[in-house]
This record gives sequence, C-alpha cells and structure tokens, in this order.
Amino acid sequence: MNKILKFQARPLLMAGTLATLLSASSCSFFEIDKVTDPNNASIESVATNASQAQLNALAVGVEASLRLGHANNSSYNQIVGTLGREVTVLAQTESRWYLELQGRRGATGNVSVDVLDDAAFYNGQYTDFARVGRAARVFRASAEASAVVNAEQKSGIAGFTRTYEALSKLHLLNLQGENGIRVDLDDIRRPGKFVTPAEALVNIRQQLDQADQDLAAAGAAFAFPLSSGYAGFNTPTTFRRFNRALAARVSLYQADFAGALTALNASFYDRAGSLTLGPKITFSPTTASDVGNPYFQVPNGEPSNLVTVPSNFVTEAEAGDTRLAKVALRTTPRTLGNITGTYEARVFPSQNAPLDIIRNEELILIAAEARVGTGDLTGALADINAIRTRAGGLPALTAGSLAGSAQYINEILKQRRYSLFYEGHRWIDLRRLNRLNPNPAPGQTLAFTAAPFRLFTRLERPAAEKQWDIANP
Amino acid sequence: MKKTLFIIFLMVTALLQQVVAQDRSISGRVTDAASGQGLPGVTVLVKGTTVGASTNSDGTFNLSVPSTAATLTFSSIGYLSVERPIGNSNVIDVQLATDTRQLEEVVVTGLATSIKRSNLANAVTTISAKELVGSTRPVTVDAALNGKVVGANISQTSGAPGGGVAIQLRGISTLNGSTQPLYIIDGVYAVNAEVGNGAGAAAFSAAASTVAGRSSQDNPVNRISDLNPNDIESIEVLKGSSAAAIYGTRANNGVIIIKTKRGVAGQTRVSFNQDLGFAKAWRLLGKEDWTDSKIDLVYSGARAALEKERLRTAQANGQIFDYEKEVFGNTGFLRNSSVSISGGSERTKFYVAGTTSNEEGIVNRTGFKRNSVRANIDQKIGERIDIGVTSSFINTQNRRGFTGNDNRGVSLGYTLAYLPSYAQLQPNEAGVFPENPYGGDNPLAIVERSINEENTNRTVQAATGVLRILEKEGSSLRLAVQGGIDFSSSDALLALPADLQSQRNLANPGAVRVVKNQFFNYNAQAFLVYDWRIGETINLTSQIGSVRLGLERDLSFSQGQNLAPGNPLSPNRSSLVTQEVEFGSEQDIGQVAQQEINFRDQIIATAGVRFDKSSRNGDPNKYYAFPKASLAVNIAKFGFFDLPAVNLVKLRAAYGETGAPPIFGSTFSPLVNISTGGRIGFLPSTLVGNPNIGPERATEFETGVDLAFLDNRITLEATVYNKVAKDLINIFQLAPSTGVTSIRAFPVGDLQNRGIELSLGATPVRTDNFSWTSTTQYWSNRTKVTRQVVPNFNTGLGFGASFGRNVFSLGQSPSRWYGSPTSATDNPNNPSFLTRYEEAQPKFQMSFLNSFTLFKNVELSFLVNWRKDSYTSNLSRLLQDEGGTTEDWSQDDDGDGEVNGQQRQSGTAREFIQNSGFVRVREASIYYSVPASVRTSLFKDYVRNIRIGVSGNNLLTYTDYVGYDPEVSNFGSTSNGAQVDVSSFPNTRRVFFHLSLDF
Repeated sequence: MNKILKFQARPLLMAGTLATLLSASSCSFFEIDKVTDPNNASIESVATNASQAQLNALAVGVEASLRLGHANNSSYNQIVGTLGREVTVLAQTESRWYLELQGRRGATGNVSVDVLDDAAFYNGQYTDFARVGRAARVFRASAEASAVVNAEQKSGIAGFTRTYEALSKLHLLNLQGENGIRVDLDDIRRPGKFVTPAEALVNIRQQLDQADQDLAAAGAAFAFPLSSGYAGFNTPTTFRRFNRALAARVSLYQADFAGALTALNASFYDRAGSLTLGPKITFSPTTASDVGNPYFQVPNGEPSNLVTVPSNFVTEAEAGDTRLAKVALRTTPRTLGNITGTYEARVFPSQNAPLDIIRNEELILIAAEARVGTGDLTGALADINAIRTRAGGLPALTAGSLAGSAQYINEILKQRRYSLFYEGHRWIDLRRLNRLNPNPAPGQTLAFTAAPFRLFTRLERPAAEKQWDIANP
Repeated sequence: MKKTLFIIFLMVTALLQQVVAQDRSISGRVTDAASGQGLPGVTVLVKGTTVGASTNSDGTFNLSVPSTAATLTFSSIGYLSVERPIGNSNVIDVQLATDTRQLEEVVVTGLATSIKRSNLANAVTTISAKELVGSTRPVTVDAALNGKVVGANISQTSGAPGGGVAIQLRGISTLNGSTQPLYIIDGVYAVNAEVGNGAGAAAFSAAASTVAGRSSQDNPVNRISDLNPNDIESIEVLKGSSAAAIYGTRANNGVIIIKTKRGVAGQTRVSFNQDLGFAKAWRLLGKEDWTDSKIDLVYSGARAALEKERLRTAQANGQIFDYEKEVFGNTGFLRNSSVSISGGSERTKFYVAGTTSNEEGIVNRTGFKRNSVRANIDQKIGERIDIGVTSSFINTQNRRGFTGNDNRGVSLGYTLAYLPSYAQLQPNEAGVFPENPYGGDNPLAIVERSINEENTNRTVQAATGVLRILEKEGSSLRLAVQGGIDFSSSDALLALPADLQSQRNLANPGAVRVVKNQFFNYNAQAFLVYDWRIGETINLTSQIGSVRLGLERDLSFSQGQNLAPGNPLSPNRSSLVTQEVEFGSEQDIGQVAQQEINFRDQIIATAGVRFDKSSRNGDPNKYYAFPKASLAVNIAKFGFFDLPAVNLVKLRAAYGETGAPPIFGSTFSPLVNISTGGRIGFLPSTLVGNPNIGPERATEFETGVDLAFLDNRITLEATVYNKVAKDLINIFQLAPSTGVTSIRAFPVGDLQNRGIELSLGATPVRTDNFSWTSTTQYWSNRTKVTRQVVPNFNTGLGFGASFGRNVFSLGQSPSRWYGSPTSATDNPNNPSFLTRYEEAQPKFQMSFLNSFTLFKNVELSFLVNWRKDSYTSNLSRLLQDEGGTTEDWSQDDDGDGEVNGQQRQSGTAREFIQNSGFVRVREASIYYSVPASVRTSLFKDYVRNIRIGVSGNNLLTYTDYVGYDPEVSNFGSTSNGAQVDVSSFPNTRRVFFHLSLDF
C-alpha cells in the first residue's frame, strides 16, 4: 500500500503543479495582442482630427506623388516620347521598348503588334498618376475632418488638391486617349464608368475651375508647405496662376480657344518672361524617400536603358536652332534590334534638374495656337516669334511667310516639337490635331512608322480596369 | 480553455490507480534476417501495453515484463514487425525481415500521438533517411525529396549553389503569401522563408527595376536549405488537409514533418562519412559563330562595318571565345564530411553529429558552405518522466552571383545571350576588363568583381517532456509538453564596385548593400493523451491540448550608392544612402481535441477538431474551427477470407480542413513615406487593408485503398482526393484609376484540386544473393476555379501577354497560360481576349525507384522521374535570338528564307510558352560494403563497417525544353507554381564518391 500511495502522490503533485503553472500564465498564453502596423502610419490615423503636422505630411505626399509616374520603369516622358517617336529607348534588356511599343514584333520579319499589352511593364505609370488623385482626395478629406485648419485654410487645401486631381486625370487621359477615363473616383469600391475623352476634359476643366474658386476663398497663405519647386506659386493667389495655366492647356485640348485665352490671362503667361517660369517637380537623389531626376543620363554613357533620339529631330530642324542642344551626337552609337541610336537625349543635365509641370514656354505656344483658333493671326505670330527668337535663336517670321491658319498650325507644331521636346507633348499634340501619321506636316516626319512598325493612338486600357467593368457591369 | 485543462487534471487524479508490478526479466537478440547482423534500436514491447525497451547497438535487449504478459512485439522502421509468445522462456531471439512498404512504421496523427501505417486512413508519404540521402547527396533536404513524394510537384528552381526548391503538394491551395508547406523539425515550426537580399533590386541587377528593397527576383535560397540532410531520420509528408487538419491554420499547403536522428542504447557507435564529388552544368545552350552575312542581318550601316572589322580582327588573332563555357562551364568541387556519435544507456541516449559541406558553384567565386553541429539527448527521469532535447547550430554561407532577369547588364546569363563569340572581353595585363559593347557589363568582370554573399547563423532548439501520469494495463494517461525555437540571422553583402561598366554609366556609380534578416520562431504546446480500452477489443486514444506559435521578423538593409573609390565596400563610403527596416510579428493559438477508436485493428476511426486564432486575422481573438474525421477498415483482418498471401486490404477515407490566415499586414492601410523638398510626407499606399478578413480554408476528402500481398512483396497504395480551397484569400483587384490597386486580402473565390496518387511497390526477387525492390509512383492533379466573386486577376508572375501570364478566371486553372495574339473574335470569352495556352502544372508525374542488392554487399539503385507536359514561360531563347547567339540562329528550319533566330523573335506567346516536361535520372548509385573477412583482416574489430560508393544526381535528362533547365524559375517558388525562365543559373549534374566507416 505504501508503494501505491507513493506512486499516486508524485504524479498528482506534478499534474497539479503543471496545471497551476498553465493557468497562472494562461492570460498571456491564450491571448493574442492586436498587432498594429510596425512599419507605417495608417490611413485611419489621419481620417479624423489630423494634426497640423499630419496635414503637412499629406500635402508633401500630394506634391511628391506627381513624380511617381516619371520615376518608375515606364517613365511617362519615355513612354509618350516613344509613342510619339520623339525618343527611342534602346534598352539592352527589354526589347519591348523599341519593338513592341513601336508596333513591331521581332527585330526582323514583317510582323506588327495589333494590340498593346494591357498588363505589361509599360502600363506602370497609369497607377502612379492615379495615386496623385488618391493622395489629393485623402488630404482633402483629412483636412475637412480636422479642427486645426479654419474654413479659409480648408478652402486653400481644396483648391490645391482639386488642381492635383485634375493633373492626375489629365495624365491618365493623355495615356488612354480615345479609351477615356473614369472621372468619378471618390469611392474606391464604386468608381464611376469610363467617360469619353471629351467628357473627361469637361470634367477636368470643371475641377480646375472649382479649384480656382476654392483658391479665391483661401486667404493670403496656404496652411501647408510647398517645396522650392513652387517658388513664386506657393500662395493661393500665385497658385491660381498655375491652376489657370493648366486650365489653358485643357481648353486647348478641348479646342476652346477663347477659353484658353481667358485662362492664359489669369495665368503666368508672359511673352517676354522667363521661358522656364512655372512650378516644377524637384528631385534630390540623396534625400531619403526622394529620388533623382529619372530622365538624366550620363553623357555618352552605356546604361542598360539608353534614351536615344531619332535623327530626323536634327535633320528636320531649322539651321541654327539652339534647341538642338537638347540632343547630342553620341561618340558610340548604340544598335539594338537593327535600330541605331545616333543621338541621345540631354534635356536634363543632372539628377537634380527639376521637371516642369507647366511652364511659360508652353503657355506662349498655347497662346499662339489659341489665337490662330480665334482668328488673331497677328497675335499668334507675335507668340510664335517670341518662341523662335527667344527659345530657338531663330529669326522672326514675317506675316507674309505664313499663309493661312493651316501654315500657322504647322509652324506652331514645329515649335512645340523643339520647345517641348521630351517633355511628354509631341504624341498628344499630334493625336489631338489628328496628325498622328508618318508625315504630320510638311518637313516633319515620324521615325519608325513603315510596316511592320506602326503608330498607336493610345495605351491599352489596363487589364484590371477591363476586368472591373466585366465584373461590375 | 484553462478551465477545461484543469478539469481534465481533476479527472486524472480520479482515474489514478495501481500500477501492475513488474517481476519478470526477458533478454534476447534481434538480428537482420538477410545479413545476420544485430539490429539496434528495435522496439520491443509487451503487446497491449507501453512496457518495453529498445535493443542496443548489437541488437540485444533486456526487459522486465509483468507476470501477466503473454506476447512480445518487435518493431523497427524498415522491417516487418514480429510477434512472439513469451511462454516460459527467458531468452527470445528474433530475426526481422526488411519491409519495403513499412506498414508497421508509425505515422503522426495528432500533435502528440502516432499511429501504425497499417491503420492509417490517409495517404501519408514517409521518406526514410535511406531513401532521402542513401543514394546520393542532394545539397538540401527539399532537393532530396524531389521525385520521391507521390502527389508533390517539386522543382529545383535554381541551379545556384544552395539550391532553391519549390514544393507544391496536391495542387494550389493558397495564392497569397507563403505557398510552401509548413516544415516541422523535431516539433519546431521551422523558418522556411524565401527571403531576398535585394540582388534583383534597382541598385543591383534591377530585375525588379522599380523595387528598392527585396523582391521575388533576388534569386534567394529558402531557409530550409540550412538543414543538414544527413541529420534526418525520416520525413513525413502530410499532403492534404485531411491529413494535416490537426495543424490548423498553418497547414493549407501541407506539412512536412522532419525527425532528426536520435541515440540508441548500447555500445557507442561512431560513424564517419566522406563524400567527394563534382558538379557540372548538365546542359549549356551553346553558341553560333558569326560571319559577315550574319552581321548584315543584325546590323546595318556604319555599325555593320564596325562589327565586321571586329570579327575580322578576332578571327585574324584567333580570338574567338566561348564565353558561356568560360562562365558556366566550370566544374565545381563538392565535399561533405560528417561524423556522428550515438549511444547511451536505457536511461540516457545521445546522438551527436557534426557536418561540414563545401560546394563550389559552376561559376567562379560562387559556392555554398554549411557547417552544422547537433546534439539530441533523451533522458528518462524516474519511471514516469522522459525528456528529450534537440539542439542544433548551423552556419551557412552562400555566394550565388547574379543570374536571372536583369535590367542593368549584370546578370550573367542575360548578358551572355547577347555576346558574340568575337567580342573581346578578356582583362588586360593590369587586370582591367574592357567594356562590353553588347551589354550593360562585362560578364567576366561581374564574375570576378561583383559580390553577392550571405552568411546565416541559425539555431533550432527543441525540448520535449512526457509525464506518464497514469500507467496500467487497460489505460494510461500522459502529459506531453513540447517547446522549441528557431532563430536565424542572415547577413548579406551585395556589391557592384563603382568602376564596373554598368556602374560607370549611372548617375550614382557603385552600389553596396548590407542586409540583415532575422527570424525568430517559437512554439509551445501541451497535450494530455489518454489511452484506454473498452473490453478487450476496443482501444481508444483521447487527447486534448493547446498550441501557441509566434514569429518575429526583422528585415533591414543599408545601401550606399555613389561609392568612394577602392575598398572596403561599405555603405559608409557613399553619398547616397538608402535604408529600410521592416518588422513583422505574428502569433497563433490553437486548441486541439482528438479521439481515436480502434476495434481489433480492423476498424480504426478518428475524429478531431482544432480551433485556431491568429494575430493576422482581422479579429485576433476569434477562434476558427478546423474539423477532421477518418475511417480505415482493414478487411484482411476480419477473417472473411483467410488467405496467407494477403497481408493487407485496407479501405480508407478521410476528411479534414485546414486554413491559412491572411498574410501579415492584411488589415493595414498604410501611409507610406515619401519626401520632396526636404520634407517628409505621407502617401496613401496602393493597397488598403481588410479589417474583417479571416482565414482561407481548404477542405479535403480523400479516399483510397491499400493492398499488400505475399509478405508485403507487392503493395499498392491508391488514393483519390478532392481538395477545395474555399474563400481563397487574394488581393481584391480594384479599378486602378482610384489610385488603389487592391484590397490586400479578400475571399476571392473557391479553387478545386482533384487528383490521383498511385504507388506500387514490388520485390520481384528476394534471394540470398540477389534482391530487387521497385517502387513506381504516379500522380496527377487538376485545378480549377469553381467560384469567383471578384474580377479576373492575374496570378503568378509572368512578364506579360507577349510571353504568357496566368489568370484567375471561373472554370479555369489559375496556372494556365494566356498570351498573345489577342483577338476579340477568336477569343471572345478569354481574359483580355488573349489566346488560351497550356497548363503550367504537369499532366502527370511518374517516378521509378529501383534498388538491387547483390551478394549482400553491393547495392545499386536509381530513381527516374518523369514530368509529363508541364509548361513554362521561357524567355531564355529570345534573349539569345535577339543577341544572334543561338546555336541554330542561322538555320532555317521551315525553309521560308528567314533564319530561325529572326523568325522566332516575331513569334507570339506560343514561342515562349514551352513544354518543360522531362524524363530525368534524378539519382543513381552503387555502393559496396567491404566484406567482414576483408575488414577484420585489415582493421581487426576496430572498424565495424566500411562502405564505398559512387552516385550521381541529374545524370541524364531527356527534354524538349530549350533553356538551361526545365525546372528553373526566375521568381523562385511562385504562388501558382507557374514558372518563368529568364537565363537562370544552370542546373547541374552532380557526381559523388562516398566512403563511410562505422566504428
């Protein structure tokens, strides 16, 4: 019996001890702590009662977001530049840059690409530009729900964010062309349907106009900081000039020439002013979470992705055009897929070079085109000559040298080609003027257009957009 | 739950009763029927009790048995079990015959219990040490499983030293997060993350050119490669949810349970193994030399003239090179040395082992080293407590070079594809490499000067304890506790010096990155197991328990660009510093209850349930239930027919559910960092969280029949399964115009996997001087989306429609390929009107394993693996075609006047979606054991066994595939198993010479 008792006592003791241990520590053993994001702030943290510092950070985010579509592997100016044959990206490790995007399958043979891919790397900037709008909407909603900004300041934020939303949509529309875009984007789970390009432009212009009114009621100063890229445009009053400049561009796209001129008058358009005047995207490669100018390339370098320029940019220029400094003859041409890049793009001289959002040189060209549209050929010529002489170092034209508005448009198109080279305009200009063909104007050609090369008028609507509409008819 | 546990403890006390006295001693010796040698480690049990012992190193045993004991059972893995009546004898000697099908081995069914294979209701594959590494020496454990597990699609995704293996068990059950099985090493939930170091990031190969940190294109190793295959005693593969249900929410992709070797009582045994070998690429793609007319096809104008001049000069100087051979054509030297010591007494057993492996890659300055030490100790404390400690430390070093996709010019295979044989890239006398005019960098310089190395220190520690609270003939109760940690810390250094060609041309030349990846896994569990009996015929096992798991992750790097000249390569010496820190923390808790009923080994039924909660779910304290039930009926034991030739006729069926919580961070909607103008800002992420997300769930029903005839000389295991992954979690792709691309985790639909698994074992010949055993396995799986609640979305990682991509679409498999051409008229119902191509998953796989023993001392075996019609998106030949280097570039196969190399470039996705099926002699070996007479004349009795052998891996491969290897993947393991090949690291053929000595 003794033995039995002993046998029982030991396990009992142990079991009891273990049970006690388990139950003593059970609060932590059986409970899981809620894990919050250890790496980032949450969007919920700015949804209500955002602090001034948080609002400032959101403003920085909105401003910075506009560079995303430039600083990725399908940079906007390179995609649009390729589609408009301003540049040829000779990428050693990605033949789709110089083949597929120029309509050709394979470096030889006679096979064209019918439809661009709807989910390839070259669609990347679509989401990037959409994020600009999202950042703007989140900032605006956060400010509306915050007590640290007053009504005037909220109005300033509304004007700022709506201007950026319009910029976001304008970029998307430029990429998508006749596909159109969605304009009602407030609810991420219930976005509006795609609208036609004309409807989209109306919406963008309305949004700019609304922003303009918001800015008018925004007092003397913004409640948030802007970078040095906005020097001269960082108060509600001066920011309105930027807003009106964008309105002028949109009006031109709408062929609303009177509207463009009205907008120009409220903008920083100045025939005699600095051609580079205007807000900019700034770059700083050595600052954390910032980047260098993605369009800078080392002169005569052999980077994997080399941005070359078709020779017709040089051969079709007027003798002495100083804007040819935007390209340079390479010491060693690069040949890929039977395409030889003799010239390289040198628009951006360093990684710190800023990128213009919109600048006076474009405004003068918009003015010229709008004046032609309203029949003011004299005024148009003055604008054209401002560009010819000041931007190109070319002699001014006389009224007699251009016969009729068609020749004016040809001349403006040519000036736009050289003044706004590699800034994302050529393809859009040719498309809106219905001249996206191998010979858009006398003396102006597009490279790589003979079959099997072909020109595209738009990027394909992203697969995710198509599938969304299929699933949400 | 704590209350439940406590109540059980109270019940335990009530049940405590007298234990039967032990008063009889029996001894004996167990020998191998074939060789006559003593068998260590054989379990000797009094039938129907847990009273027993195991044999010591020479096969002898000594056992005290109760006076009532009538029968002893002798069992050992790999041998047929034997029952012997005790009668009046005090000495019982037994011979055991080898069992090819191992019906008596035990298989895990609960977290604290096991079951005999012959009573098992699931098709669980068990791989013994002999099957795993007995033939040859694959570098990693997962590579050693290749071709051996019925129902598993295993691919060696990289030929780089240290491997890279993707395993898919019974099709696709998860699309998001880890898709690899759960690895459990001696009870420890092991880290098997495939964590990149940034080799594919924008600053390095820029394969993922928009990614600053880690990406799927870093060509990483999976951390299971740290484990030394030689330490492994056995591996069990729980392939589907019905078998893995007890592992709950981490088991959706199956569970691989690894047991390491443990000591055996008796004389101390020392084993020494030395393997020496070499590895060579089993296939190089070759090259085609150039002529003037070929140059005219590729170049024109001044460039053509320049190239012709270069060609002429090279030919005149006899400087035509085979760069592929120079880079990938080397022979890597392989070495493994290991020593193990095992032994102990009845109360203390130990197994101590040390191994060092050094494998050179086929590319210079690449390689893999692994040094590991292990100590596994088992100790009995008193009569009621057993404890076991498993302790290992591993150091691995990897140097993998740069291969695979690339946007910078540093990836070797990528650059080689564009390199004509007349290019002059050899360094000059000062060691300076010339510029490569055909690519971003000089591959010879990259081999010589780039750095991509990783050093990992890892420790896996586990402790188990069993307390036998109650032990008597009709019932026993025990408490089994187990805890373990797995901590791994990796340091990587990546560097591209600033004067490399690819760097000189950058705005910020030179890149160096110091990476630290740390993982800490812990788990603890406690189970109460009650074995009891109703009458004489019904045995029951009841168990309840709790499990807690945690994972802490700390991934960081510091990167410098724009480097100061010279050494050291450190981010300190740069002007552009980028850094990133990423933390992760996960906790899971599970509660388990399981009941087994065994009626005379004739009918075995099991039911159980696991309740799991996880910090990764939206509600971290909500329990989700994962039930299971199974039934096995051993018809041969009913006595309906008493045919001695029939050993086993078992019908079995099992149902079970497993889950997977959403990936870490699924509930978060972050504001990511961005700055401009020197100010820091918030940018809403393109992803938003889902605060309501719960786990996805796989439900599986499997049924099958197991047959064994003629003393198990013929066995058949046939299984069919239907596994449905319900509420499959994936990102919910939104309209990207909104600026939000997706909701991070959403139940997007259901996915069905149906498959069949057959395993036929035979021993056609079994004589004294010749025996032949053969195993033939067949498996196939079909996957299809059966419910879809979100728009179609891309799965996998294809490069786009031109080369093939995969789509999640109702009625289709998410691993099927779609690609160009696009046609609204021809393909009106396909996603984006793409053309529908083949399935990435193979039609079926088969494996044939044959082993022969001649004259008791020569062993021969080979394993052939046949993968039928799997499809891979292969861009490797495109690169060569673009570069004009393909072996058949100038030929014109279809005679249309356009050479192959040009014609293929204009191809649709058809050209790139290629059949990657193969027949591969995966392993082959021959071993010779030096006969005892020779051995003793040389070494007397100091050496007990001498074995020498030669073996090979991937000796022969038959495939139509045109890349380096049909198994490789640019992205490592992909969620859907569909693979993309972009000039991957070539896979190797490995040959080893072996020497093993036992003392």
